[in-house]
Amino acid sequence: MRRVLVAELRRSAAPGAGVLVLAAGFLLGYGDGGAGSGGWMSLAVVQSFGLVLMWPVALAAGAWQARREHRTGVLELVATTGRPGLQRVLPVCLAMGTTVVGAYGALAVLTALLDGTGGYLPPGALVILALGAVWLAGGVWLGLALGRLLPSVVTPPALAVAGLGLLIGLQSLPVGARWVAMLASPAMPLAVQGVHDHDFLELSGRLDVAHGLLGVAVAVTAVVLLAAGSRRARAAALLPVLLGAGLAVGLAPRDGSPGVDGVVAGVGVDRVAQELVCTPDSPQVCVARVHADLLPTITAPARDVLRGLARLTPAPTRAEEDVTPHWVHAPGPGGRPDTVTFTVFSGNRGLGPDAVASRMAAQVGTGAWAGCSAPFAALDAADAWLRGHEPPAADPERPDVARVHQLWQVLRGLPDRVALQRVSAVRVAALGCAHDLDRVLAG
Amino acid sequence: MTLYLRSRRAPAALAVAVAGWAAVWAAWPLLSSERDVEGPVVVLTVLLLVCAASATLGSPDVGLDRTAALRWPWRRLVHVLVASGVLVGLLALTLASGARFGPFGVVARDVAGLVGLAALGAAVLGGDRAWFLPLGWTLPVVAGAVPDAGRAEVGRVLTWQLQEGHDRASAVTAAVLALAGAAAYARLGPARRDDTGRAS
Repeated sequence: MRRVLVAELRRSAAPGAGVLVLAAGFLLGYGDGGAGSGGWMSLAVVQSFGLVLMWPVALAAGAWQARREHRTGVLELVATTGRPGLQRVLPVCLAMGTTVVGAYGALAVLTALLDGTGGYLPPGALVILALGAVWLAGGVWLGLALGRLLPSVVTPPALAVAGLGLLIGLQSLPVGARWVAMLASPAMPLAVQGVHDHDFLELSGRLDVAHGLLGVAVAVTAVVLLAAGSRRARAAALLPVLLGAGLAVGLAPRDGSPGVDGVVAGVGVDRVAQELVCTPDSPQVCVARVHADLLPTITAPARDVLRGLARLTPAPTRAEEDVTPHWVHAPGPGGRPDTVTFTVFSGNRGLGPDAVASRMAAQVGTGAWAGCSAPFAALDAADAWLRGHEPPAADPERPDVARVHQLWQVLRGLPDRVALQRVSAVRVAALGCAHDLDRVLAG
Repeated sequence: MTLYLRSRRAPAALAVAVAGWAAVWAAWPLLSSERDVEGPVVVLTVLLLVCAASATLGSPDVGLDRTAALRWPWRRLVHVLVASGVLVGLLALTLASGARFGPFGVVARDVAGLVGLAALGAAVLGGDRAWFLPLGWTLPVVAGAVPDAGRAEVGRVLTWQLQEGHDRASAVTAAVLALAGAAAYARLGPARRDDTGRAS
């Protein structure tokens, strides 16, 4: 058995399939210059996202190998051995599966090294990685089985095109049917539309089980189909996938089921990743557990921001990461006057702590606070006054600039003590989601 | 002529192409209420048809072909042109129906460019592998793995299959590919390789 496997590994299309899968996944992950945030969940999702290309490639590779076997007459040769069907197809299945899943694993390692992935490791990330491997192996075996049924030149490219078409089709399902995509798409997290930042993502256990069940069912059906010698056996091969699909549909969470606080069924927030990790000394600076590696670098700039706001009454005494993922459509928490919030996400992570801090400091320390989202001219004016900068007087393209300057002049006309009170009041009112900040500022 | 077409497996390729085309055309109204088929789906359908057509670019016996006293370059050139024409015609038929593959310019550009790539592939890699190039370029583009570099010139050349009909960079790319492919194939013919991947 081992000798056969080694021969298959060397002589079949398996090595080429592995290289292609690796290239496809790498292209999808890094074609846009890297999509990961450096966390493990982000790595798992990017890796799984790569299946959009890796899975169709695996299908095509399987069919290509099947056609080669057909052309070279290997099947007739092997059929002369007195072995049961399953034993005859096992070597090629193992060879193709090993290289393709090996390439998938190598891609994960490569991504982890390139992104410097580390820190908090949620079990869900490992589950997503494992599910992807199951689906990928199933894909290459399905390609083999279909290629053996239809050994034509056109089968491999047709399967690749159809595979990608299927994934794109699943991805564009309307709201209400997205749970089908979460269940049946090999690139499951692709269906999590609107979630660009994955550090706080958690998939429900039931979704994981249902998705895995269906993946295993597809793989089993493919192998049985390969081993089947008669028409009746081939029909029986459909049994596992039908059974698996039935169970999976029964298990999978549907859109809009209770307890779902994300955008799609089965998508939730990882509460452990959200827990705050704080500096022991004050003024306290806190980040989410998943971003704990940033704490040493963000502490100094965050304290500078606090120092800049120290003249306010009440003055903020701590800085805290806003851990509500921006894809959760929930009302933001009421702002606390003693806290300045900042956000860390894959988009601004690369910019460094100073960029995070300058966003945190903007608008009297409410710049990164997402509780209420109206643009407030009064906040800009108050901020300019506190920093002692004169805001630009006018900008033909932005009418609100003139308003900011006007409000700033109001502040400048007041005695310092009164103006400082007004600036403090504007900040507190903004954190309370008051709408009429201009009036607060003008007194 | 009939023998030539049969030796190129043209009837089977045509059947596959028509079946793929008909499947997408019939399925589209079920999936969407729009009359115009979405861009990526159009590109994938074109790709499927080109892959089917690419199967006709090979020859069961390249060596035997070369002994025939025929004017092969012309015959091969006509073959590529006719294949492109059939595909464009097939897709253009849908413009009058309830599921339109269009706009016509985009379809014609994609067919021309992808057939050119397939012809290039046939000339370099052999008839059985002619689909490697069109598939290998188009799948990543449709899957979104190729950045269009903020729609800069380079990006639009790299993702030419998906660009709008009036885009010049993509049209030029497709034209270059079509010409290069047709020229290479007409001149060289399908490469001699057997199925185990070694040149024979």
